[in-house]
Amino acid sequence: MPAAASRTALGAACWTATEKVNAELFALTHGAFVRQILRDHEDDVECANAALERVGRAMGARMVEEFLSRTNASGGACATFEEAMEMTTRVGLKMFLNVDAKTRDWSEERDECVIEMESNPLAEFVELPGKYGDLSYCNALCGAIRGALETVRVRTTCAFESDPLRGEGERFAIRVKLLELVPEEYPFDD
Amino acid sequence: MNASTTPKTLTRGKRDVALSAYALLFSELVQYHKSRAKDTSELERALEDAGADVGRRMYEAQSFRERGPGKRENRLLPLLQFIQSSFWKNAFGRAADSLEVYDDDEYLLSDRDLLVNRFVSVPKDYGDLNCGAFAAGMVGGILRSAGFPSKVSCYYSEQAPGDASGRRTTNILMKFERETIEREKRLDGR
Repeated sequence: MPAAASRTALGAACWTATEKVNAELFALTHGAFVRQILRDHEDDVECANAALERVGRAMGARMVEEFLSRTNASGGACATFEEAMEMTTRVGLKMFLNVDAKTRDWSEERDECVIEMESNPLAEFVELPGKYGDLSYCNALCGAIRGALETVRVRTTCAFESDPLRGEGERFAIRVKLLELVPEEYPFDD
Repeated sequence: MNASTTPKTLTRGKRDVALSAYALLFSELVQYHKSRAKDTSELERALEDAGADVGRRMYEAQSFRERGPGKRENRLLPLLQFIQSSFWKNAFGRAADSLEVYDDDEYLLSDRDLLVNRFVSVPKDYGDLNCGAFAAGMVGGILRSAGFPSKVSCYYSEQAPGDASGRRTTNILMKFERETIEREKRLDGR
């Protein structure tokens, strides 16, 4: 089986095996959280974006543990950024959010790509009022991807390339750029 | 307003995300409020407020789906039964275990294994914090939007002797205003 198809299959298997919860509860709880953050930052959209990113990073760092424990049997560590991105896209997003996604627009150096998502459970029921035009409502998702990759020593930047809530395109797409593959160092911190 | 968004979202079948993704989001929500609240009761109030938004919206979506636009329960007991059974099952995956009435104006909803408390362990210095305040807020939000304003609170039952499961029953107490109860009695007499 080609690598992409086998990863898609792994993602689907992980999703089937996982315990689930109503996506609306998830979407609305996230929505209440975003609104609270906006209130607490007095509608300063830039600060809110940063706060959402932090929330996501903390989540991503913990998601990676579950991800590793559930997928480890099938292939060991990712050797390249490209592999790490394929795992994030085809297995990670599927396993946690039941989102089908693929990577596209790889740079020649294979250090930058775009994750295109078929759907986005965070954005259900959402319409942004004009005054929040610069809000990256789903920024927690970028944070989660960055946080998860960071935990396995892949430093990146993540930002929405297209965000339908802001009237950009039909699908959510996230641009991920590799900054550094941090070498494993010994002795370890603990 | 983008007229196509809402109906599409509402008429689509039920979707899920991973329970662990929700658990992490909820945990971030609790941490966020914990860092801002000065004591446990302020934290619980913040969770209650967040829950009220979520409950009201989920109830609207579910009533729309199951009864059609604009149709809602207008009597107290059927509404509470709806919350205990259909609503709870839709939101948390299982119906609440019991619904009891005390003194005419107080109702108690109990859940032996409330979803939002399943992944919470409260540190000792947070004493009687109950994150079920979020679920209580959801109930309060529904009741308010349906025209039955009430004071909602949340507490744990004492653990039954010999129960080693570590699970504790979460109780949500609703106390209604006298006018509401009198209105119900009037409608009963008709």
